[in-house]
Amino acid sequence: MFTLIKREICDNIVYFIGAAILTAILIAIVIFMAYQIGRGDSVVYIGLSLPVIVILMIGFSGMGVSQMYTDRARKISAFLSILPVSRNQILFARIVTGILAILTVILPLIATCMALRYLFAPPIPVLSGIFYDIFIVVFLLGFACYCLGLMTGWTTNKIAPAMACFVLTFILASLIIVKGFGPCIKGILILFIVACLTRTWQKYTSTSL
Amino acid sequence: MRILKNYYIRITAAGIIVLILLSLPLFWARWFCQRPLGDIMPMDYRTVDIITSELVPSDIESDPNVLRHSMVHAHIIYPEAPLTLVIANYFADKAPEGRLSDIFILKQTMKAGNGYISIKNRPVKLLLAGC
Repeated sequence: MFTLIKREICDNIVYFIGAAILTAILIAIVIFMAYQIGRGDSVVYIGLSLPVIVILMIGFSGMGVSQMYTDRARKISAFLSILPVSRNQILFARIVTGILAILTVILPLIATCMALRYLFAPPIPVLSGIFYDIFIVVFLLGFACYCLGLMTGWTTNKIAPAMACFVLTFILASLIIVKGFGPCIKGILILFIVACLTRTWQKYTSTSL
Repeated sequence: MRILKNYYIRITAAGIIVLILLSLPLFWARWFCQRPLGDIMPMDYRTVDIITSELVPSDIESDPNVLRHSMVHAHIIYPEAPLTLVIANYFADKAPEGRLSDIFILKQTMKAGNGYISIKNRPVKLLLAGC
């Protein structure tokens, strides 16, 4: 299993490097926000961070599409099936790789925000609940977009999955604006993730190689 | 039997995905169309006046000395567009003195600091603001 995960990471190392660069940019924005928050309106900075989140989501879904499309086009699963590896294990390794890519972005941001909170925030935890809600929702949204990419990428057509994934990711990311960061969006996203993974698993395991 | 079970799972999963992804464009379509539709609506359709309201007993309404009969008036109020989005409500609710916040700002001259107070039988954190 670890060999499979390692192989997936090596195949998609570009996305991990991109995620690390975007994380560095986001950390710089967050630090800038922390220094400016006393002078300006914080809602403006939160609004500015939303497009960055959308770009990240498109990246995650692109990673899912890339993994599945490459597999379908280059017959990687067919090659791996001659080894003692089941298709479920290949798919599981792929999903773990996606989660690792999302955590590459989320974990450094959480650490930065917590450090800034202890440095700048008042002793009463005014914003702690908001921080946890935002990071949980962003993680779930990133994973939902990744699952969407996995689902749409399992095809031999080159243009359709890319376009469909781009449009659907944009639609799905707007869910944050519609539903905020409360428990309702978490429920919707978990339901969406379960449905996408079920559909992907069925398509992936039932297709003849 | 197994094929039938897989079929049901596949249909349910596809249904959930389509429901979520279709409801979002429909929401945005309604959100963008709401204000223009309200603007082109004739003024007569925006208000309703019911005279007499029938909330007051009929013997009072039928009294010839009544100068003004009871009336019910209703009109459409268009909320500010961003306020209809839950993200705006979320931050408003979580902010100090918001609906879901347990932090209140005491607006009177006191020494700044932190304290605790019980309001409505639930513990709340109190942020004292000297002014």
